[in-house]
Formats: sequence, structure tokens, C-alpha cells
Amino acid sequence: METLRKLTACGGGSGDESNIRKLIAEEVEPYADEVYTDALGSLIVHKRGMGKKIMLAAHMDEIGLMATFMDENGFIRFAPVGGVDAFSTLHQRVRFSNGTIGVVGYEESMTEMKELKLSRMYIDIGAPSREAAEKAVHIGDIAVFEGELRQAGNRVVSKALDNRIGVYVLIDVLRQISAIPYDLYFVFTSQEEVGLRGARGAAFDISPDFGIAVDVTDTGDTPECPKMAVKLGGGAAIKVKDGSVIASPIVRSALEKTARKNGIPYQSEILERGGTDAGAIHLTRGGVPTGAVSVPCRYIHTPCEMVDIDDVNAVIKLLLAFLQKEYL
Amino acid sequence: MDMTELTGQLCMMRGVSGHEHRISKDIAALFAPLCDTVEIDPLGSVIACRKGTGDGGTVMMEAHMDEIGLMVKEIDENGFLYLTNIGGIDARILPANEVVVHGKTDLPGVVGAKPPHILGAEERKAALPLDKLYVDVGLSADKVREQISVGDSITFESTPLCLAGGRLSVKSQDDRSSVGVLLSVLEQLKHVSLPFDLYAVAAVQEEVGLRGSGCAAYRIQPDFAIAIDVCHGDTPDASENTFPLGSGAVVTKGPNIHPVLVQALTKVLDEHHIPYLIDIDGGDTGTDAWAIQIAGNGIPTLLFSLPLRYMHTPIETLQISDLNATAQGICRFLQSIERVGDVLC
Amino acid sequence: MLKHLTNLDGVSGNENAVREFVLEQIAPYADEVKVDTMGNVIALKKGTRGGKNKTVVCAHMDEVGLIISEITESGFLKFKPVGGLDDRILLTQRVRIGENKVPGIIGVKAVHLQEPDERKRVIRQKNLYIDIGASNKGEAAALVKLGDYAAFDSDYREIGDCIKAKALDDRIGCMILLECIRHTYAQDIYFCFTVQEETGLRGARILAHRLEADVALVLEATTAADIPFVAEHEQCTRQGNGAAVSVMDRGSASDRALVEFITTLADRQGIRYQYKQTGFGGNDAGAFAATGGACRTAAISAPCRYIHSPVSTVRKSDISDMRRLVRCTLEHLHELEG
Repeated sequence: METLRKLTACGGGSGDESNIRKLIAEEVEPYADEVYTDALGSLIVHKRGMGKKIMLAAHMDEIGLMATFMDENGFIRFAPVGGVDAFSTLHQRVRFSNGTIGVVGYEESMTEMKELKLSRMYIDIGAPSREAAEKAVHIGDIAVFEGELRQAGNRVVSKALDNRIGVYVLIDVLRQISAIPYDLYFVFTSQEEVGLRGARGAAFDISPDFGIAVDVTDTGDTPECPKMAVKLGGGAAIKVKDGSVIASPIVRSALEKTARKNGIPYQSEILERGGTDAGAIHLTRGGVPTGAVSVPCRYIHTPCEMVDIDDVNAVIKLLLAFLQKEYL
Repeated sequence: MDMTELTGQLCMMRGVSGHEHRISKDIAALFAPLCDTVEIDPLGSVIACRKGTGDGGTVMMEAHMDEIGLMVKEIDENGFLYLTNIGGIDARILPANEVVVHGKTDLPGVVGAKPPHILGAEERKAALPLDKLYVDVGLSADKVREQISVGDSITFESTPLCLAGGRLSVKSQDDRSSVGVLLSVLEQLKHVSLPFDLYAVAAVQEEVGLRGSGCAAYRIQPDFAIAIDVCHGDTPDASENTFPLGSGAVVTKGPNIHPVLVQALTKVLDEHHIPYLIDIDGGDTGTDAWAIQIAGNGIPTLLFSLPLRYMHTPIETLQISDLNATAQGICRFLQSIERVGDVLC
Repeated sequence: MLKHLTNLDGVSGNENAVREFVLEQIAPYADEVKVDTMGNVIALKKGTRGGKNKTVVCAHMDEVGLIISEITESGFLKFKPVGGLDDRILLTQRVRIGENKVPGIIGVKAVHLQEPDERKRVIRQKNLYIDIGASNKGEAAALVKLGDYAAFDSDYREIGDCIKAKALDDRIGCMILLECIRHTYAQDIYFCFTVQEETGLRGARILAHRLEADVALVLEATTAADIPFVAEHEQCTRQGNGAAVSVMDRGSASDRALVEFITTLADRQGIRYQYKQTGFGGNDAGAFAATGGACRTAAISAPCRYIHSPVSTVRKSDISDMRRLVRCTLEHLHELEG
């Protein structure tokens, strides 16, 4: 839990992944044969082995707010980095990489809340003037949500579980894995939230035989929500499709077979909106059969994302079982 | 090769985007007798190759083999199946249509919706969106769960129907009819020696974003490519951007198309009196040609289209003579080429 | 038999094909057969003990469908509905037109060509058209005449535990009548096959006037709405719960004593049945109740999902329950108090 607390607490808006990258690099160092950062900022952790090349990808970036303009009273206007929802952002605490704290307000001339748009909102860092604000924050700096990790029963609530939970899973798999029949690349990708960008470059470089993305997915188990078969606590979600990829039938069925053989609870994921790094990986060069394993997560892209501990463990167990025996 | 029969056979295959493995072996088997090698690439596209007699380069012909369809996204306590779409579907066409659910076995079903007399007055005016529709397979919930899982694909039930005027109505002519054109071209050229390697690709996942063709093209790296897809046929409710059935081949011009190549093509079509129309597209053609053009270092691309009515429905309708004209046009064009490089300058 | 019956085309006003089959089937078993001016078939089956109450049991031969109203210059066909059709189920259906069963399809603009808000509106039947492949008016006119009837082209198939076909409403009733007339009963019974039920119970109306029956039992297919998005109290009938006995619908309130007579028989024989829940819908019982003298009516129906569509379904177990209940009722009708 301490590792996860550190991972979620660390800021890392898309394109601004240096802090989180450093943290992950420290965690993985003892278990890797080779660790390096590529040109787009993805952290690539190589665990050498004989056999087919598999790329595992978890993105380390998170959504955020990028400072675009400061007015004379020190209020900071911002642009979204990734899928930021106006309603989830209103009155949240946010934090810039240098530790500056702010809160998000809105133009109160608005009469109807349905008019709420990010363009009519601002960050207040407590600076009385433009000059004071400029000392703390630069145009282009990215703020991320505050939202400390808390445990609620068997569930964990925090900011940035999308996708630090995926990062946590890969670190844990790397820590525990032994006797692998594959040549493994654990890739902590950059800029997923702004269009699967880091994974694209990394996959082209690595040119894997198979790809597996580890990310969060929505659930269909909250009151009056759209229909979706994934439930929190229902086990590891093996992706069937999302907006970016239809999972390779080879990879998907191998994952399902692994789960069944090892008695690991799993569910089939159909995410009607949104994508994952698998979308970028599978279209690399001449095509890479790619699947994905997801941790079911409620309230994605808010400061209070929620996952179930049993689901996280199921995903770890599934990947360990899958990678230690040759299913592909 | 009887095109009506071949098209019917291809269209009755059932493989929605991402589920082409259900049919790729059957399609590969159709290519095998006409080619030197046939393989299935990592994403599942069928790549057939006919070796050339010289060092005249490489030409790739392409059509996509996936079809639009539905997928089971949830199963309720009574065994009704809820749906997500694979590719673009107008949900309004679905009520009272028959489908096949590809569970452990293929199960017939019907698409149901709330009956009209139970709908409120307001509800009656609005079309039913996909999340208000479901599939009923006529089985108890237990039996449904035994047979069907979330993620199973669903295709339209539709058998080939011959209409007047040599027109054929059946599901999935987009784009299996074009796969039929590829086969017809290969058969017509079977005993003709060509100086270049000729690839025929039946690509996956066009309907979900042109995903398969770019990767196949990256792999083959041809000197140029010919994509074949469908365009809209003329109907009373749609006149713009449509083409009359029976027009012959439809050849696209625009940024997606290599200008010199298309000039050479139309010259050949004119010489052989093959009927054709020109389709002007100012940018994205929405076909695999768009993805192929920017694969690898870039690939000069041509696009043929078959006028098709009622695209993305179980009653897609086209005229067989258009298939024949297109196949013939491609044959004559390929036969006119001595060295692939020459037609590009 | 049901397969054959549902594959016959008999849109209201054009029931010939069904009637011919019915006449052929009943000939060996009926004592008197008459076809009236509209085309209703009236077959008297004499009982061993004659007629205490004048008793009619009927089913309708017609089905919903289309009629060709115009041939356009470009060779497409415009049409009008015959009977109650929901506009929403017409898109992309296959039909067969006229005596030669010319194949056609109901077209719709491709999704790519529609504006986003267009997709939210129901396409009205008047804006739809049938494509038979003709390129112009002349080609179309050579194949199809104005006034030709078009029936859905939908084959009889088993789907799970159900039968799927067009026109299950009311070929199921026809089938059960054809089966029942083969047996002998105590009571004299008029087996009637009516026309134009779907256009407003019109065949039954003149039949009721002619026969002035005391008791009329109507065999029907009725809505089963045991489906998603429908509240339980609106479900009318449920598949798998046996034949539905109507207490009341829009056109008639069933005779209490007659309903009780039927349900008591069912209970005694262990035949599954259900009450049709709500006052929706109507059937030929309405015509008997409203025409001529006082006639006691009841209806026994097969629960049918997606009724009035090419893919109506009925559960096989419900058909056999209905068959048993009707047969049993006819066998005991002479015991009904006057």
C-alpha cells in the first residue's frame, strides 16, 4: 500500500512525467536488466529472456490542467490536458509540479450550471497579482488533482489511480516474476491521456511480437449508469474492445485461458468510449497482436477514483501466471 | 467464376471487425489456387501473392473482409442480450431484424424493442437508440448463459436475394463483394504472365477505423496499391454523393489518389471501352486507401468503388455488372504495365 | 402445418391463398361449408348431440402487410400499410409482392448519408419505398401492378424454444381450428375462418350477423410484452405461462361464466393458462359482442412477442397448451349452462 500511496501522490500530467518517471525508475531498478528513457519520455524496463518479445504497457501520466494565462489579479486560466470534465474539476484542489496549491473556481456571472465550461473556470493559487502568480507558476505548467489515497473497506480511493494502479501492477509483477519464457519489456508510457502518444513511439522502437496494456476501465455497477458488464470486485477485466482497439483474439483467449486454469476471477470488458495504449501498440509497423488487462475503476478522471483491492490482486496474479508459462 | 454465386458465398461468411478469424481460413482457401503464397498476418489480414516473371516491382490490391455488426455487451437476468455496435449502424434499422449470435454455437435471434402500444406519445416520435434494443434468442436465462458470453459477436441474418436488373441484395457486400473482385481479377489473370509481384489483401478491421490495411501495406511495401471498396448507390432519399447502380467502375480522384496513376488508369479504361464514372473526394475517402497511402514511406494509391445501396444494412444491394466492369478494368490496367515504376512518372 | 400456414401470404383483403388451403383441409371433416361475400369460411361440424347453444369458434386468416400505391419514375414502389404496422419495424425488411411474389426490399438511406439529428427521428412509412431492382417505371410496371399486396418475406424458423415467423397472428388460431375440426364433439360447432380482422374485425362482423351465435370462442395471437423496458403490469401476457384467456380487451368483455367454464376445465385437466392482463388490443370477439343478438364471447390466445412484425415469436410450449385447452373446451362445450 505504501508503494501505491507514493505512486498516486506523485504528480505527472501528460508531457510532465519526470517526477513520476524518477519514482518508478527507483522502484524497478533492482529487478531489471536494463532501464532507459526514450525520446518521448517513456520509461522502458527490459527483463531479458529467451523467446518472443512481449511489450507490457502501463501509462504513467495523468490528466491535468495546463496554465495558459494569468490575469492582473493573479487568477490562472487553463486548458485541459487529457479528458478533463468541467463538473469534476469545479472547486477541486490542484497542485503544480513545484508544489504550488490552487483551487478551481468559476465565473459566477453564470446563471445555469449547465453552462459550466472549462473556458469559464480558473485556478486560484492565492496570488494577489499577476506578478505574484508568475513567481509560482509558468504558462505551460501542469496542475493535477489533489486527492490523497484512502482506504474504504476493501476499496481504495485516490486521484490518479488512472493509471498509477496499472503502474503499481507492472512494478509488482516485475518484482515477483521469475522463470520467464519471453523477452519482456515493461513500458511505463508517457502521454497516454492526450492520444496514446508515448506507447506509439515505444512500440515502434521495441517492435514486439505481442502487446499487453494494463490500464483502468469503467464499471457498469453504479446507480442508473450506462450498461456495462464490468463490476467493481468482479475480478480482472480482460479487454474485448474499446474505442481504440479490438483485442487480438489470440491474446484475449490466452488471457482467458490463463485465468480459468488458475482460478483467477475475470470479466469481459467492453468499453464503449475511450481507448488505451493497446490502440497504439497494435497498429505499429506491420501490426502487433495486442490485448489488455484492466483494473475496474469507478469515477475515472476525478480526484476520487476507486478500485477494489481484490481486483488489483487478480490482475497481478493473472499477469504473473500468464507471463510465467508460455500461453502465446 | 459466377460473380453472383461468388458474392453470395463471400457475403454469407460471418466475421465482424476483430472477429475475422472466423472466416480468414475460408477466404485464404479461395485465394490459394490462384496464388503462389497465402498467409495470414499478425492482425489477421489474408495476404496472397502471385510472383511476377521479372523484376517489375510490386503491386498490391486490397479489399476489406470485415463486416459491421453487433456485440453482446451485457446479458440480463432473463437472458436478453444488450448490444454495442461494431462499425457504423443506424439503430433504426434493427427492430424486427433477424441476427445470428456467435456464442459457443451460432444461435438465431431477433432484435426486439418495446411495442408501440406501450410507448408513450413522446416516445413514439423518437427513434429507438441502440441502448433501448436487445436481442431475444428464445432461450431461458440459464441456457443463454451456457451458450453466450459478453464479447460474442452478432451478425445479420440475411440470405442472398436476386432482384430484377441483375441486382443482388444481401448483407456484407461492403466489402466482401470487393474481395470477390480481387478473386475475379486473379482468375482472369491466371494464365497471363505479369512482370511484377501481385499481392491481393483481404484486410481486417476497416469498419472500426481502417486498422488492418495500413499494417498489411507496411508489411508488403508495394510500389503502388489499388483499394476496392463500396460507394453509395442512388436511392429516392439520397441523391448527393451517390452513383447509379449499373454505372460500371467508379474511380476516385483527389488528394488520397496518386494523380499520375489515375491518369494512366482512366486512359486504359477509355481504350478498352470499360464504363466508369469519376468520384471526386476532397480528402479522406473513408476507405482503406486513406490508410494505405501513408503506410511506411508512403504508397501511391488508387481507389475503385462499387455503387451500393443501403450500406451497412442487411439488404445491401448492388448490380453484378458493376463488379464485372471493375474486375475487368483492373485486369486491363495491370496488363498494361511493363514496369511498375513507369506508370508513376 | 404451422410452417405451411405462415408461409402462405394473406394480407387483409387478399386471403385467397390461405382460404384455399383451409377449404382443402376441412373438406373431409366438415358437414357443411360456405364461403360468404367477403370471403369468410363457415364450416359446420355436426355434433353427436346437436346444438343446444349456437356455437362458433373462429380464427382469422388475414395478416398485416402492405399494398402498392405508386410506381415512381425511377422504378421504386410506394406503399400503404394494411393493418396496424409500426413504422419502426419496416426499415430493411424483405417483402414479396403480388401473385408472382416479386422480391423487394424496403430501403433506407445509408447511415453515412444521414445528419446526426435525422437519426433520432422515426422514418414515417409515407417516406419509405420498396426497391425491386427495376431501373425505371417501365421495368417496375412489368413486374408489379398498383394494388398488388406485399407480404413480409420471413421464413418459419425455430429460435431457441420458440417459433419465429410472420403471420403467427393468427395462423396459430387457424392451425388449431384445422386440427380440432378433425375430431368429433357432442355440440354442433361452426368452425369459422375470418377475413380482414386486421383492418377492423370486418369479416367477423358480417359473420356474427349471419350466424347470430349464442357462444363465440375466438382463437388468437396476442401481445406478449415480457421483455426489457416494459413494466410488469404492462406485459399483457408472458411467454411460457400457457395459453392466455382474455377477461377484457378494448372491444369486448368476455362472458364471466364462459371464462370460468374454460379455466375450470383447464384446472381440472392440468393445462397451463394465464389471464391476459390488460385491456389492450382487440380481436374478433369484439365483433361478435357488438353485432346481432346477445352473444357470449371468450378468447384463447397464444402469447406472441413482436406481433405484427416479420419476426413474431411464439413459444412451442404455449402452442401445445393452447391446443389442449381449445380441444378440451370444445369437447365439453355441451356442458355449458344455457
